[in-house]
Order: sequence, then structure tokens, then C-alpha cells
Amino acid sequence: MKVHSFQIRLDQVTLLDRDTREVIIKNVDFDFPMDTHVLVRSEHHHHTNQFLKFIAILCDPDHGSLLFDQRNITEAAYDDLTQTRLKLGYAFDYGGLLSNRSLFDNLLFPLEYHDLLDAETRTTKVKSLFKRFSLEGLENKKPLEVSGKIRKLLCVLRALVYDPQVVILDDPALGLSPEMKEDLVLYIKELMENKTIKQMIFFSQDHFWLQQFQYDELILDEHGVYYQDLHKEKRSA
Amino acid sequence: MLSGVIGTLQLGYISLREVFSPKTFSRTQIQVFLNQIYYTGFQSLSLIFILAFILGNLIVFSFVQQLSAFVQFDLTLPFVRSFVIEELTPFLIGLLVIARSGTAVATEIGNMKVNQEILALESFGVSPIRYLLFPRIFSGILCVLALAFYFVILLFSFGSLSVLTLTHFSILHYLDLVLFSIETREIVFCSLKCGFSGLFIFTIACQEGLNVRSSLHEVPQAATHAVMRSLVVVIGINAVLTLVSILLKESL
Repeated sequence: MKVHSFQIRLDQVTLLDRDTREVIIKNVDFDFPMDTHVLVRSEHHHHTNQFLKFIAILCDPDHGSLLFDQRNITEAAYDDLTQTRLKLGYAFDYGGLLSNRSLFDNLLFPLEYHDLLDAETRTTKVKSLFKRFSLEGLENKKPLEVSGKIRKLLCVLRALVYDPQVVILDDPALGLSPEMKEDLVLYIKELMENKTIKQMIFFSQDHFWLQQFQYDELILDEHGVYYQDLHKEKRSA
Repeated sequence: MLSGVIGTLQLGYISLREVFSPKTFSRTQIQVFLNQIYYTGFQSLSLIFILAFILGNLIVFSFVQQLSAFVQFDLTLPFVRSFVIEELTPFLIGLLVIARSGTAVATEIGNMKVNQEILALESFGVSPIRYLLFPRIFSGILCVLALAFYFVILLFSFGSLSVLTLTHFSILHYLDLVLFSIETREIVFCSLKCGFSGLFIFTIACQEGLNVRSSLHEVPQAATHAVMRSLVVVIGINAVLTLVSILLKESL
């Protein structure tokens, strides 16, 4: 039996920009198609950024509800959402690595905090990621001791390390070296093939990244959202 | 002002009720908690030791010098004891903790906010209240209480040097007057003042840190606000509880 990603639904959602109060979306009803990768775009990048944050349950809508598998997430208590959050992986900008922990501990942290896997397995898993992405020797460095591209890579890897079903990636290729991009795309594709990642909701302007995945497009506008079911054939044409 | 205090109390309450959540006592959480005890409590021990040495000798010496001309030494010491335990210790430890740890906590959380570390924590289901605030506030309260206890013991121990040099008192008689005859009321009011000071100092520091939005220049401002607000609140707590103590004493 095929296991699907969970159904993400917007119910009459209005989302305003936190600073400028501009409308990002207004009274939108939308069902994200299951198991389909979706590129989110809008006229302003900070609108996309906030929309992705909203899908990652990191900010509340100004009106309406976000439903995961018909469950209203907007009204749920923080602790009730832990399991749902662990099904989502969210990576953004360069931010978010814990500056007082080493790079190794940063990757280990979500697994350790939620006691996912046994101690040895999680250490092995993180070690293997360091090896795979040629980061060996940097394990004990603090985030501010390494270059921006390594921090960025670690941010994305941390969103993937606990095997989320849905990954929400805000410009994942930004600042990565071409080799890193290739390695990361390959790793994500592997996770998709073995059905760990079932859906990717993302924003990217990186040509290489966009070429690598099949996706549909969701365009945000203050008057509504526009969904384009793009097929690979069309894109390559 | 009042709404600020209410906001701080609400945040303190939300954070401290995490004590009832089983998730609060995971291995990672306990590690964070122990780190905070180390930074706030353990690292202050040497400073408190020096302060207690200086003040212990200075206070006992001054009181003995000044008051023994008018009253018997036996009557002076209980007064010194009450002043040290009920007034000096809570205020001094409060000031010390504000300067050492309040600023550190506000700066640390402010920097985490700017670096979007708090957002990242939330994204993988780590509650900032449970992971960041609770260990700092709870360990802060415990540390202020423990440091006060440590300070009192050291201060009177060092004070004995002055007493033994200046008077013909036996050490046992001195200890009997200052340490072994401490009244319950003195302990209760010292603990209340220290406990509330700890609660407010660390909650205010966390609150100011969380109020930082997106710019690094807000971080030192948050630290300054935390110090000023904590100072006012600690003075207020000490004043109110001293008043309550006096009223209680008069009514009995």
C-alpha cells in the first residue's frame, strides 16, 4: 500500500506581511496536491518566505486555518504539534544553526532532543552525513568558524536529518558551491526515491536546482493563488 | 509599568509551569539546566567569596566599632545578623546576578533571536519556552537562593575574624549569636526576596531578549533594558517585603 504525504490545506487563509501589513494572500482556499513537489513564487521574495514559514507552522495566519490531514493546526496547542512538526523539515536562509553548539551537535540536536533512533545509530547517521558531504574535520567547529556555504548546507541537512515526509525549503541552493548543490540534489533525490521525502514545497531561483526536480508552481498574489500543473515535458520544451 | 510587570509574571508563570511537563526532564533539557546552574551559580562563587570576605570584616568591624560604644556587644550582633540576612544579602545578590547573569541571558537570547535560532528550534518541534526559558528562570531562582545562603555563611564566618581581633568574645558565643540563633522569619523573608528577585531578573532578561526583532544593534539595548528593569523590580521587591516584614513584626 502506498503511503502518501499528508494533506495540506488552506482554509480561507489571509496572510499579511508582518512588517508592512501588505496582503500576501487573501481568503484563499487551497489543497496542496499530495506527493507533488511545489515551487512557490510571488512578486516579493519576503512574501514567499513568510508563506513558507506559515506552511511550516511557524507563524499564524491573520485569518483562516491551516489543516494537515483535516486537522486544524492553527488551533492546536504547541505540544500537540510536535509529531506533526517532525514530519516537516524546514530550512531557510543561513540562519538557525545554534551558535553555541558544534556543527556535529547541530545536526545531532533534533534527533537527540526528540530521542529519535538510539544513541549509536544517530551518531552514525550524522557521521555518515559529514562524510558524504566532505565535511569531515569540521565536526567540532562552531557555525561562525566556517564559511557561509557550509552553514547553509548544514541548515538544509538539519531539516532532513530526522527524515521528514514533507520538506519546506526556502532557497536551498542559495550560496552553495556547485559541488555542494549536486551532492545535495542527489541526496534529496535518494530520499525521494526511497519514499522518505514525499513532498517538497520550495522556493528557488537557482537554475540547476529547478532543472533537477519535477514540480508544479504555486504563484501567490494578493488577489488569490494560481496553481500551474507543470509537466516535465512542458518544461524541457 | 504595571502591564510590564504583569507581562513578566505571565511569562514567568508560562515558563515555570513546564516543571510539570515530563518532556522538561529529557537528557538534553537537564544538560541545559546544569549548564545554567554552572554559569549563574558556580561561576559566581569566587566573586561572592571575595565580597563576603571584604564585607564580612567591614560590616562586623564597623558595627562593633560604632555600636559597642552605646550598647552591649551581645545586643549588637543579632541586629547585624538581621540586617545582613534580611536586607543586605537579597539586595546584594540581586545586584550581582543582574550584572553577571541578567545581561548575559538577555544578550544570549537576543542574539539567538537575531540569528533566527529560535525560529529554527521551533521548526523541529523544540519549544523555546521549555528549552530556553524554563532552564534559565528555574535555575536562576535556585542559584539566587543558593548564592544568598553561601554569602550569609561566608560573611559571618569571615566576620568572626574582626570579632575575635576586636573583642574578647569566644568564637562559639559569636557563632551562637549570628548563625545558630537565626530566626525563621529572617530565613523566610530572605528566601522570598531572593526567590522573587531570581524569578524577575531571569524572566525580564528572557523577555527583553525575546523582544529583539531582527537587528544586532537591538541586543545591547535589550541588555540595558533588562538591567534597568530588573534593578527597579529588585528594589521594589525588597522594599515591599521589608515593609511586610515590619508590619508583621509589629502586629505580633
